[in-house]
Amino acid sequence: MFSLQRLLSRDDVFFDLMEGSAQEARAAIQSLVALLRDGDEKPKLEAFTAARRKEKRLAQELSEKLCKTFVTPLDREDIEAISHALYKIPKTAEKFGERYLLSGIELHGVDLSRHVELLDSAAEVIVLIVRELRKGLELKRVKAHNDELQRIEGEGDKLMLESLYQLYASRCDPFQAMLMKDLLEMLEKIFDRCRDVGNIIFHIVLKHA
Amino acid sequence: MGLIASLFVREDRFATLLESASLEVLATVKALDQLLTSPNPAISLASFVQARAKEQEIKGQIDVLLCQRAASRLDHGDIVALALGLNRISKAVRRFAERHMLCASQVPSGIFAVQIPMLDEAALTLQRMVVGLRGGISIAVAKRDNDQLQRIKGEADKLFTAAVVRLYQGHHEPMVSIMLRDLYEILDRIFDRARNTGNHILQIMLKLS
Repeated sequence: MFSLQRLLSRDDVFFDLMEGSAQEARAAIQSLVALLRDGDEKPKLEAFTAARRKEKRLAQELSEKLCKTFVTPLDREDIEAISHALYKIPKTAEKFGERYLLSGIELHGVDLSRHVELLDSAAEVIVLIVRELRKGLELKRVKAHNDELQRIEGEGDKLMLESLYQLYASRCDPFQAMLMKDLLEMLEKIFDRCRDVGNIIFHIVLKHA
Repeated sequence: MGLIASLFVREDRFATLLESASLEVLATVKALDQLLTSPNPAISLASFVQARAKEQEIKGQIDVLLCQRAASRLDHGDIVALALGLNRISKAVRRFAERHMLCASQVPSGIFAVQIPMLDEAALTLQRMVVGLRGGISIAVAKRDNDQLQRIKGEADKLFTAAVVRLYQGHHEPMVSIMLRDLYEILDRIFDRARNTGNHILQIMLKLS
C-alpha cells in the first residue's frame, strides 16, 4: 500500500523496536507456559522480571526515538499505542507468575493445559502481526491474524468459565478458591492484552487502507 | 467535518449502525432479565448468542464504513469510541449472565431483583440518547437523559455498597459470598459503562450543537 509517510520515513528502527517488544512479550508468555506446564521445574520469577524489564527498556527507547524523529513510518500515537499494549503483556504475565509462585497454590482439579496451549499460540500470532507493520500494512493478512487473536481470546473466555465451574464444583477451601479465581482472572487478562494488540494494529491498518 | 457533513449527508449510515448497537444492548439486558426469571436457561442463552452475532455484524459494518471514510455528522474517533462503549456494555451483561449460570443453583434466587429493572431503564435511556445523535432532540433533553443515567448509577452504587456490607457480615457461606461478590462487581461495571457512554454522547452533542 502506498503511503507518503512511509516513503519519507526510511527509519526501520521503529519496526525493530516494536518487533523486539513483541519478542519479549512472547518470552514472558513462554516463561508462564513453562511455569504451568512443567510443575516441578518452576522457572524463577527472574525470567518474568527480565522480560518485563527488557520490554520497558525497548518502550523507553521507542519513546525517545519518537521525540527525536521528524517523520515516523506510522502515526506517533499509533506507535505509542502498540508499544504500550505490548508492554502490558509481560507486565500481566509477571503479575501472574508472582502470585502463582508466592501463593504456592494447588490447582484443585482445574486443568490449565488448554490455557497454556492457547497462550502459546497467542504469543506466536502477536509476533506475526507486529511483523506485518514492516511489510506494508496488508489488510487481508492483518485481518487474518487479528481474527485469530479474537478467536483465541474467545476460547480463553470459554476456558475461564469451564475452570470456574470446576472450581465451584470442587467445593475446595474458600480461601484457596479465592486465590485460584484471582489467578484465572489474571490469565484471562493476558488473553485480553494479546487481543488488544491485535485490535490496535487492525485499526491502524484500517486507517491506512 | 461534522458541520459540512451534516449539510451533505443524506443518510448517516454510522448513526443507523450505532442505533442498532444500542438496540442490541437493550436486547442483551432483556435476555438477562429473561435468564434470571425464566426456568429454561437454554432459551435465554440462545438470545445472548443471537445478540452477540448481531453485534459482531454491526462492528464489521462500522469497520468497513470507517475504512471507506463514509461521511457522517459525527467524528470518526467518536464513532469508534461510541461503538466500543456500547459493545462493552453488552459484553459485561453477557459476562454477568455466564457467571450467574455457573452458580445459579448456589446463589439465592431473586437477589438481583432490584438491579435488573434499573439496568433495563439505563439501556432504554441510552438507546434514546443514541437516537438523539441524529439531531432530532435538544441538548436539554439529552442532558436530562444523561442526568437520569447518573442517578441510576448513584442508586446502583448504594445498592452495591449495601450488598457488600451484607457479604462482609457473613450472611452467606464463604464460597457463595465469593460468587456473589463477583456478580455484584460485574453488575457495577455495567452501570459504570452505561454512565460513561451517556457522558460521551452528551459531549458529542455539545460539540455538534
